[in-house]
Amino acid sequence: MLKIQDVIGDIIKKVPGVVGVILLDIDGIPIEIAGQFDMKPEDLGALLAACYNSYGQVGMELGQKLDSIIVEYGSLKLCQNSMPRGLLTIIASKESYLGMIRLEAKRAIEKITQLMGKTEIARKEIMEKNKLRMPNDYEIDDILSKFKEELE
Amino acid sequence: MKLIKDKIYIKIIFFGTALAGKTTSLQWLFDNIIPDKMKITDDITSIKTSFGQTLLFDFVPIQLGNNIILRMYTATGQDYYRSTRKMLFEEADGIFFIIDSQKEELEHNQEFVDEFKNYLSNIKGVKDADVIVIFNKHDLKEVYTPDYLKEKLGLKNYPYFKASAVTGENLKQAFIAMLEKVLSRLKEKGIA
Repeated sequence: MLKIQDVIGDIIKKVPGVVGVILLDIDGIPIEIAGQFDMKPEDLGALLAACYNSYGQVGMELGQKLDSIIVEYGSLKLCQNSMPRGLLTIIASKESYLGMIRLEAKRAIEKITQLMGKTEIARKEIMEKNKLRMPNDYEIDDILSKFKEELE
Repeated sequence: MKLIKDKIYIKIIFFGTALAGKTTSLQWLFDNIIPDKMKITDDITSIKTSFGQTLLFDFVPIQLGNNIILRMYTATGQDYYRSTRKMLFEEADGIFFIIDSQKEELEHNQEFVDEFKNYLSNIKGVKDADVIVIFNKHDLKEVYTPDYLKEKLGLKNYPYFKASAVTGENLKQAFIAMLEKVLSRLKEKGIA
């Protein structure tokens, strides 16, 4: 079965010059990462989401929906793309072809959107798969005690 | 609260007027209260203006437990950046409303209370967020008391702490109170 990790990894394989792909929740929480980044994913995600949401706000003021952002640095280019409840960001060398990046981003977004499925079903599956449950009283006390220790 | 892969994410924001002490509070908590083993990043990530004030946000993630990540943001306080401030509020689980207790800031505080009330009714999830008011700078001269301010500003329904972000007084208690609230809500209601 195809996984999100495979879909974003394929972008690196298919498009010459792509060095990294990061899939973020709309708040910037990293969902999947392929390639190497010099930054902590949490920091990178927060910054990318802030930039994207800022441009989204500008678009809203102009009465326009934001589809993508393209940024050019000295030797890199960055392409951020909207998707349902998330952002797909592709980082590539300056020489890589923007048309190919955009085409592969579009294809990947279609596949990822299908893989993510309906939120409620996906959530239930994730909980079961990871044996995840809400914290109980004991665990909450344990977390709080760590901060209370810092007080003393 | 969000579930992404095998982690639950909780979002807390610090909101208040310019120079009310939002960044100072977050930095003090990061330096003094957050155990090193919970720190995911080495320091707070900030996007600042050329003169050192918060432009977009300050941000720090911490790992509360194996599966729980707390993400803390400070919103920018300058009126000029109101449009970018709003975006941080979406799906916030906890809000520290930092009030500058100095008398000269009363009108400005009122503007932020009005803005906050607007977010309560217009931004998804904000009305369900836990709110704690921090009456900061109470150690300075020419300040109003928390009792006066909460009445005057219409904040009497929220729990509050009288604090000093510079010395850290009562910040740790406020932080623990917030954690108790959001974690209890997570336990009782799960992820909506």
